[in-house]
Amino acid sequence: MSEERDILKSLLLKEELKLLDQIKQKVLSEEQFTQEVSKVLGGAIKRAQKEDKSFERALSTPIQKGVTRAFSDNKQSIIDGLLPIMGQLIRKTVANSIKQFVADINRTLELGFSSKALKWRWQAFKTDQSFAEIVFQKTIRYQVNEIFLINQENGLLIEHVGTDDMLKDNNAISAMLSVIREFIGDSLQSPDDNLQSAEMGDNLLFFSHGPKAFLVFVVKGSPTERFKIKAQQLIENVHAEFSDVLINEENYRNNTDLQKFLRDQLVTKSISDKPKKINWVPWVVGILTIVLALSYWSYKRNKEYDEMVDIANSIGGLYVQSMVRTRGKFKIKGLVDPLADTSSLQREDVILDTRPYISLDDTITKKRVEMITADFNEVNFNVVNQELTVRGSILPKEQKKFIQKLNSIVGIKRIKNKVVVDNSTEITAFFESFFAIDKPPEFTVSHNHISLSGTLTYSQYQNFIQEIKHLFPEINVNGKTLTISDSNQLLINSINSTVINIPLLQKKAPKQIRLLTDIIKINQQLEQRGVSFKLSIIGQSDCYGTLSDSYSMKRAETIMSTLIQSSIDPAVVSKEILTCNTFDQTQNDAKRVVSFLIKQTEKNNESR
Amino acid sequence: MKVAKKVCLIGRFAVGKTSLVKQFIDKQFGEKYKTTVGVSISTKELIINDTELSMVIWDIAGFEQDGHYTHYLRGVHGIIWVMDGTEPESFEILDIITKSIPEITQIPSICFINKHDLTDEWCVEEEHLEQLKQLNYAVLNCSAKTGENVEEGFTELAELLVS
Repeated sequence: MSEERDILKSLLLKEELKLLDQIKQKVLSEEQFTQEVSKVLGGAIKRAQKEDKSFERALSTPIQKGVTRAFSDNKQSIIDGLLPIMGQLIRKTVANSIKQFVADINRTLELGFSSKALKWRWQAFKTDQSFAEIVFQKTIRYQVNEIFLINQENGLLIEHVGTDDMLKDNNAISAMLSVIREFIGDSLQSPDDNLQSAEMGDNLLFFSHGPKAFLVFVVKGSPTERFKIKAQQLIENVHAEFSDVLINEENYRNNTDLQKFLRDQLVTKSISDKPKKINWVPWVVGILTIVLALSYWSYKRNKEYDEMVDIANSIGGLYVQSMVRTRGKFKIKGLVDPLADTSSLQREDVILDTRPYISLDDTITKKRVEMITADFNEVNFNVVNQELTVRGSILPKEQKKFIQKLNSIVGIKRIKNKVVVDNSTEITAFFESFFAIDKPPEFTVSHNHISLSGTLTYSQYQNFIQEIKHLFPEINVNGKTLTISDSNQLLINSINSTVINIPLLQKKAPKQIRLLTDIIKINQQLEQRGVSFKLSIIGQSDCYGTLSDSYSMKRAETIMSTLIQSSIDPAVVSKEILTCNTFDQTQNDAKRVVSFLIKQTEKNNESR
Repeated sequence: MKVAKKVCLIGRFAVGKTSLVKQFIDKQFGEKYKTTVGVSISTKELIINDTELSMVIWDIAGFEQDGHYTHYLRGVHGIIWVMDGTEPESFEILDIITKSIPEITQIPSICFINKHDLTDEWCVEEEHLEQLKQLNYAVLNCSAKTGENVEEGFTELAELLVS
């Protein structure tokens, strides 16, 4: 029954059973199943990621664990794989820092004005490079003389380029470098850190390490940080571009491309060992120029400041408390009198910050006086050390008001009042009343001064002087152009010109008597006026006969006695003769006459 | 064709490693003993079957400490074991090194039993020779002082290296 059923089943479901069997084989065979699943795995993951939100969350944990496991199991291979990426990232970071550093240097160098800097700047302009790049190129202070590329594992020399032919046994050197590197790593027990550099004499051995090989640069001088970064970049490039050489020892020292690549990295720029001569001339000139410029600038600035101080100090009524110079402007702070003239400070470069006050400065005090006493036109003022000197004239009625005003002014300690009171009106009135005569003298009055012209008698003049001095003691009379009709000199002249003819000694004619009377009167006037004089009576005679001189004397005595009898002081009278031989006999002079001569003595100063 | 090969000398101190290298390279021998500090590097240019071989010889100081040789032996192409024929204990290094670095037995090697000129003191035990034979090493009784078998030994290793 069972067999029949199986036969029947095979007849009915032969194809299906065959297909079912194939599917069973696929499922049960792990390898085949894996192969089938791998065909749809990619699409299935994509679809699941697209349609099933929980798919990513489900995968995150196993992936995370898997990556962690991979790192811990195969650390070195992952490091080797990441090295080119990490190296680039680190370099990029460092390059950014250097770029900023270079920018700083660039800014500093921009300020340089040496001839070399200008030359480099021109070169940078021509080559379209940055100025800092040119400076870096020109200021390299090292040489890379040798480069060893050494197998990291066994120390064999992969490639060597260099300029020093003395290094024959490069294989031994390569091995020794490897040993040194290993030895230091072992000694310091830090296998993860590598030797970076070693110094030997003038040479610096600089190491850059890679996973399969390391480079050793034999450097003379002081390499820059830039060089160190470049060295690390170089070993990475060697691993990237010459990996087949590194792993196949048969290619060691037999690859021209690698050799050329390394040779290009040599820096053979010659460094002069000669001490650099410093040309001090441009420095000295530059420094002197700067010093001179600064000195001139400072001098000019100080001069401007001093000038401004002088201007400010010269302004009366301005008290400067402080003066500062900021942003090219002078800021003056202080006190200022309203009467002060600050026009000289009305400038764009001056800022005045002042408060009002009353200044005791002499110029301001003078202005204040002039302002208060503006009504008195005939008065002048001067203030020195707070002492006010007043000159000019004022009317008597205004004198009190004027003094009151002066006393009210501040800033005056003492007043020298030289103002005269103007009495012109009063003097004029007095003059006109005093000389109420037909022909009064002319006069001019100015303040206390009066000038006279015309003719007056001696007594009129004396009376006028006496009266006006009594009324106006301060009056000054000028009479230089005034004529005194009976002055002393006129009186004396009239006596001296008088000649009395006396032919007979005993008898006097009426004319003789009248002349003598006039002489006596004049003598009395002179005495009354206080004139001190001596009167000589001179007798003379003709030369006929032998008694001429005695007659001459008798004539003089006769006249003298007559005068004394007429109350003439005998002390002032004297007689004398003029002998006949002293004059010309043919002339009329030789007459029997008496003449007179008055000589004034020193006692009398009054000429009029 | 030019090739460079790294060869390391392994042996206890004072077995004559440095003297063998000096004899091989300079044909000289010094009576005065100077211990090697760290490692001493020498090179020898040989022509083996039209191949210019630069043999970089690492004369490692005979300092017996675990792991002492490990760094120096990395990437080694050939090994020269050096024993003292007058000092049986010098053979013990073979056991010590092969146990700590088993893969070293796969590296082409030869074995010098040095100081063969000291015939009165020569005392090589049979079991040590047997041990060396098991490792298929060429074993040469040699003398750094007289130069006996020195060049032959180095040359034999060189042939192994270029073959």
